[in-house]
Amino acid sequence: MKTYHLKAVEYGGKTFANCSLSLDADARKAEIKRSVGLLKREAVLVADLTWGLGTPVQVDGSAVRSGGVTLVADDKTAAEEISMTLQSPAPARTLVTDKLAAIREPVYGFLRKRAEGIEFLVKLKTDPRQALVDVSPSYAGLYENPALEYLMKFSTSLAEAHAKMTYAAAEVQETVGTPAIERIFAFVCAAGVFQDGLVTGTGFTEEVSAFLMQLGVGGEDIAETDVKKSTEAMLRRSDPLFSAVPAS
Amino acid sequence: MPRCANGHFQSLGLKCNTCGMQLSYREATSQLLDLPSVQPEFGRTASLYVGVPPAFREGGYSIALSSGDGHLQSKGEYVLERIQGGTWYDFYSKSSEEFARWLNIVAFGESTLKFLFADAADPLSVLAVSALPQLSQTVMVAMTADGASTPVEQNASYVAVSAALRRGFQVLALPRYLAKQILASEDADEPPSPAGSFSRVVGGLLGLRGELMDLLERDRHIGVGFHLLLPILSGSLQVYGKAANVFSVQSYQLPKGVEPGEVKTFHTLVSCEKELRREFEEGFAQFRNRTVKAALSAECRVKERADGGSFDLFTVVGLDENSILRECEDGYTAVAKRTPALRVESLA
Repeated sequence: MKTYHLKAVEYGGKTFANCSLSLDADARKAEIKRSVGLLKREAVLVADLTWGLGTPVQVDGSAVRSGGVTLVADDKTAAEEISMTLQSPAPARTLVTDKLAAIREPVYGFLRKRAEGIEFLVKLKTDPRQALVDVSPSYAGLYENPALEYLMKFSTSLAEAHAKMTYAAAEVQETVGTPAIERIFAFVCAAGVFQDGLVTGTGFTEEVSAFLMQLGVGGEDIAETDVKKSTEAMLRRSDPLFSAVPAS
Repeated sequence: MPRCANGHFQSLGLKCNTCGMQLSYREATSQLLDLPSVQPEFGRTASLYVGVPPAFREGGYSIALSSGDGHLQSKGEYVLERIQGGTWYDFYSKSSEEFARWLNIVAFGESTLKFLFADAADPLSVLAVSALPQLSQTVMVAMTADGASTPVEQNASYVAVSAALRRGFQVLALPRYLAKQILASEDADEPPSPAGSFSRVVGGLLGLRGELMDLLERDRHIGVGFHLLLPILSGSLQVYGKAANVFSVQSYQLPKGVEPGEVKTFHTLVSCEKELRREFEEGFAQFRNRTVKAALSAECRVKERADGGSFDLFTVVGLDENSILRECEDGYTAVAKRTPALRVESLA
């Protein structure tokens, strides 16, 4: 929030002298007030305006014109600063970036958690007895064997990670837009297919590669066979999905 | 799988192949809650070793039970805290459940063929028998105590074999005196010991495990669950003259008091060069018709191998279970009288 002194404001066919302008760049809102009373200590709201992203803004000396409003700043420098704030898409972009960042960790959290289960299954396939021994410290005897008990507990924690991811997506969807969320979920599914391939032995398939290319995150082969490392390699590619794009 | 607004499912893609609509992945992420199914392969053979070194060479899964300075549990080893002066009962009462739980964790019972190779006189042998899952195709191959063993050894051996029979396991006994005879006829690289000989026998038997289990299971169906093992390792017909003589020599190795007429089943597994197959099959038939004709079942199975010269032969003699327990009975009773806990009845 930044406040400017205005020599005058023309709005709604009227002219108001000696006003203050408070600009909320993130919300793209402008609040114009004027001082009234004998000692000019009381502030009265003149206008509470929201600027659209594409609204044209013109600077003429110390005057800024946009829509049906003319703001007369103290000087030309202040006028240009107000103009840039109103025109710049940066505030919106920052907001989207922040929201995307908020969903990144839950998405990574889900895929990392899933990698733990996949790693266990790969081990169960290649060296089943060692896999059972590895999970035996947490075996409480609730199920007939440690593998079943581990997978039952794991499915609960995976469901929690999934819920966190979907809640986080729902919270930011209005700001970042449905297409951005869909792209992220599409990436999550591709990563899941890749993880499953480590169990079935198909690994990084052409289908996954082609789809990642479509998503614009790079379809180069991941030859790493360690599940956690290969999942991290996949996550590193996802940066473009979490970078700022204007909300559509 | 993602789907479009018209409900068409398809694999990874941005647009529906059927109607061209945008695909939605929101619901598809829920499918990632299901992990791919895996059918673990635990292998055909699992072996538990007590008092004898594992025969890793023969493949399959193996785990060794022993006692030492500290507790250790891993895929291939289970070490119990040593109990100073501990008897079989001390280990059994302290660790039976715990070890059974470990055998469950390592899915010992998931293999088709399950073997316990034990020096039955070892105080851990009873614990091992008790902890094994009660499943079919389980065999205890035991080096049993003999008349020269101490009463405490005879007691442990008697209880271990009795426990195995009570639990329905097949028992294949190699008396200690026979293990010593093998010792006399081999060129061991290591210092000679009955346990070393037994270990060599184990290696040879594992090489024929499928055939062995088949014969033992067949005998089980006719009510024969106890067998004496008469092995010859690296034998040569230059020594025996002909195959029939091999079986004649083995007939003298039966425990004291057991007559050939008491033999219930009589089988031989031979691993030898192709040219000796007929010799062994004919020799076996001659011996059977002459000496153990009353046996309910008799079979000779030959497994041909490339290397010539010597042969390995394992004769498996189905007997009444008392025949081997008799040898240890005096020692068992002497100890059990003084210490009631060391009776078979102490087992759960």
